[in-house]
Amino acid sequence: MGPTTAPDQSRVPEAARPPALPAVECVGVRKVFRDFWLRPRVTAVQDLDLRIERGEVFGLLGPNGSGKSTTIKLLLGLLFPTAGTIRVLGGEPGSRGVLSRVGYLPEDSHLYPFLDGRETLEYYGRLFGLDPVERRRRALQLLEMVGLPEAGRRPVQEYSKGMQRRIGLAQALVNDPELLILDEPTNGLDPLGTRQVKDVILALRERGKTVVVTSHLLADVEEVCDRVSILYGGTERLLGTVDELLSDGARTRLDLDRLDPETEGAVRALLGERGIAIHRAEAPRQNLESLFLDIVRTARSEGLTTSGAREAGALAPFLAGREEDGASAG
Amino acid sequence: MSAPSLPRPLELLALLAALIAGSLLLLDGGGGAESAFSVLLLAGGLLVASLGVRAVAASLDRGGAVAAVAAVSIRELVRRRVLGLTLLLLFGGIALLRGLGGGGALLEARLEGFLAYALAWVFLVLSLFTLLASTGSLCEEIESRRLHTVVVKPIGRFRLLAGKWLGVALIDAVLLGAAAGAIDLSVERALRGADEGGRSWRATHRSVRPEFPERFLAESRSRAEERRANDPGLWRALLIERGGDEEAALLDLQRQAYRELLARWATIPVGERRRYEFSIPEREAGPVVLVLAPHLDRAHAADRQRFDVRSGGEVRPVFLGGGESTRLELPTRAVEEGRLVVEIENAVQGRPGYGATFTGEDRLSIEVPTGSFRANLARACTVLAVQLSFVAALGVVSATFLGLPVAMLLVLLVLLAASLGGGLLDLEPERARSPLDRAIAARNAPEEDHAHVHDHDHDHGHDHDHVSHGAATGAAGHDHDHSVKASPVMDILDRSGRRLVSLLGAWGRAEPIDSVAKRREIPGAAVRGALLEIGALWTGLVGLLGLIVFRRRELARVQV
Repeated sequence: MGPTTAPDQSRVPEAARPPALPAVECVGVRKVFRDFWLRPRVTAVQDLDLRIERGEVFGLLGPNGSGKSTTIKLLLGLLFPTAGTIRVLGGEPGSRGVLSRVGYLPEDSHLYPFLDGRETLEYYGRLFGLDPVERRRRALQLLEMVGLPEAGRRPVQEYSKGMQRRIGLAQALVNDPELLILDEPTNGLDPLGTRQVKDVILALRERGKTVVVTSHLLADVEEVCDRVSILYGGTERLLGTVDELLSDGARTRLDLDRLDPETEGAVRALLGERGIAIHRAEAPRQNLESLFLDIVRTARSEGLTTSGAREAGALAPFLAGREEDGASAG
Repeated sequence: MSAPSLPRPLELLALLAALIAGSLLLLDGGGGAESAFSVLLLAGGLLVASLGVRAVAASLDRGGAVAAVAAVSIRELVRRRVLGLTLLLLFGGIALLRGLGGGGALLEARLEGFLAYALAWVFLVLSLFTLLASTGSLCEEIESRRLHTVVVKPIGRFRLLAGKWLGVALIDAVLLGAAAGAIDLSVERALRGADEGGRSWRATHRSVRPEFPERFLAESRSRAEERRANDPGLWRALLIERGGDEEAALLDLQRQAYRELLARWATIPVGERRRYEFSIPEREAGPVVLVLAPHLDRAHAADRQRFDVRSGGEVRPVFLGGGESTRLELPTRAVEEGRLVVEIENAVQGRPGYGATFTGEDRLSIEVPTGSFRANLARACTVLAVQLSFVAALGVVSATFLGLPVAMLLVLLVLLAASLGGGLLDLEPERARSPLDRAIAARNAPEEDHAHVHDHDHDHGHDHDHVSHGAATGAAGHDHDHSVKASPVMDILDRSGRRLVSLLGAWGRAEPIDSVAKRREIPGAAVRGALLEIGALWTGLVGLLGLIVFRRRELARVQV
């Protein structure tokens, strides 16, 4: 795909579609880091077989040092495998054809501190070969999307870590990628930013994009991933859909309006008669994330200002496939 | 992206300073004028260079990915204040050096000193800037892993390196141009109101050395054959050394005889006269000057010796000191159909120990006016820009596989080796071959090679000196001959060493700084040579090395 448009598979007749290649395919991949004398030092990835289908959100999970980031760097051509083969979007990792269709957010944003937010996005747009008008339009839309339209003219070195992370996310999206690789995307983000990253991932999935997410914050991944792979010591320990992996067939949870003591007693008695044990019954507490988001929204509705990120906007029109809307935004 | 340059307030300040200094210059021709001119030079230089960088960055904003990387490199240098500091050092240094040798010194000597130091200063500052900018930027990006975000874009690693190089090379070119402008203005200012001699200073000359007499070839051969017949012991020893090859042994004898002839030709004993012929290139209006700097057998500081110089039908006595350079204007009619003949007679009477030898650099030459100072400065700057662009390429490529301090050290070492390459050239056998060997090589070579050999001598003229030196010292037997059997390993090492030295020699061959200071014309061939050898060959090889290394360089480290 060129940097601006993705072929819309939904418009192609089923029979005419080529057999779908996986977005990522790793077979028997091993990565050994060697010392100066070429002696094996660390085996970061061992015999990894991985197949990520197009259009899915795939979570690569594991504790620190489990080989998640190494795997991602292998997919991007930043590292070369010691053994095994890797195909990304049907091509060689790191080849220009593949990279033009990939977006990448590294673990730390790694931005040019002397450029401002808008210059940063325009620069990365140029590296994708976008024409000046298009890259300017996309830069503005992305700044709006990540909630940094006012901070766009400030040098990145003045940004907080969360703001840098937002610009990092924006640069990963500037080419409207087919495959988006996010390494610890919520690292350093406040709950607002975290929520937004999740929303972006879900919106991209809606558009048929493939997203690979690594994280050790499992709650973040659980909400957005179709499938997850759990790594430990460079090898895959578990692979499956989130539902498959997390469903507990031995238990049932009911979420009801508050019961008065009499009704609660009747329910307990009924369940007791049938030999069903109640492990937990309590009034639920509000989620801390919801509480935080409520407070921030209230503050904003009262007109309080901040030099940091403001409320994120909707998905950038060019990412949502609404090019004509985007044209007027530039 | 907006085109970067110095911060606007600094630009405005420079403009204000330039306007005030300019006004003072116009109003006051007195004692403060020189200070005002120095301020004008500093402020104007800052302003012009800043605007130049702005224009370059703006033009890069219209290019592709390479231009994008170059533009960001320039922004980094500007916004991290590296450029501002470099500009201050550059133009501050030029402004200060204007006062060098002021007061008592002759105008010509003052200008020569100013040019030598100012150009050396400019090259030093820009070399350090280039070293820092080329290695620093990429090393930091690799260390901070910022490069991870860039190389995963579809730019290609080579284009990334090319962009980094282009950014630094373009800034170098702009700064060098601005500095050359400042130097030229300083020279114009110094020459303002100068007399006729001062005005003729604007001309540059080409130094021409005497031609070797053709007859020496035949004469050396007959002497060699004579020696073979008269000294059978020597002949047997040579034959053993040459493994029975009679022709090689005879050539050894001929070389020795040739050297003796040259030594005799370069030496004028008391009461004797020598005739020297020169081939004169196409020239500008102006006098042809004979430069004499003999080595005198009995010379000491106060000892001067009389010589009579005959040329163009005139005989002129000159008194020469040992180790001193004396210039003598020759009559215009001395040049006939592109040739000039000078006869020099050692006019000391009755003192047999007072011989004179014309050996080594500039001992006997004529200076022919061939161009202008400004054109020469432009040529020098072209050569310096090519050298700086090579430093930039080397810096960028070193940074692909070395950390910052080591990469900088490597570049410095290569710079040092290249700068010393000219000195090594004197020891290099290929270049130090006698005219005899070159004549034989030229005779055996195809037509175009013959032309090249001749052209080379004509342009640079250094070979003559090497030979004369060898002739004077009577050194024998150090010429390299490929017929000598050596082990293959030694032969490869020998060839590689000579090739390396020959390659390194390209760095100093044009002698841009020295030539401008001494108003010696930098030949077009030297500029073309620098462009081809340093600009294309060296830089290309370094770029290729960078491509090979960086293409497979893993940009992430173990993190498990």
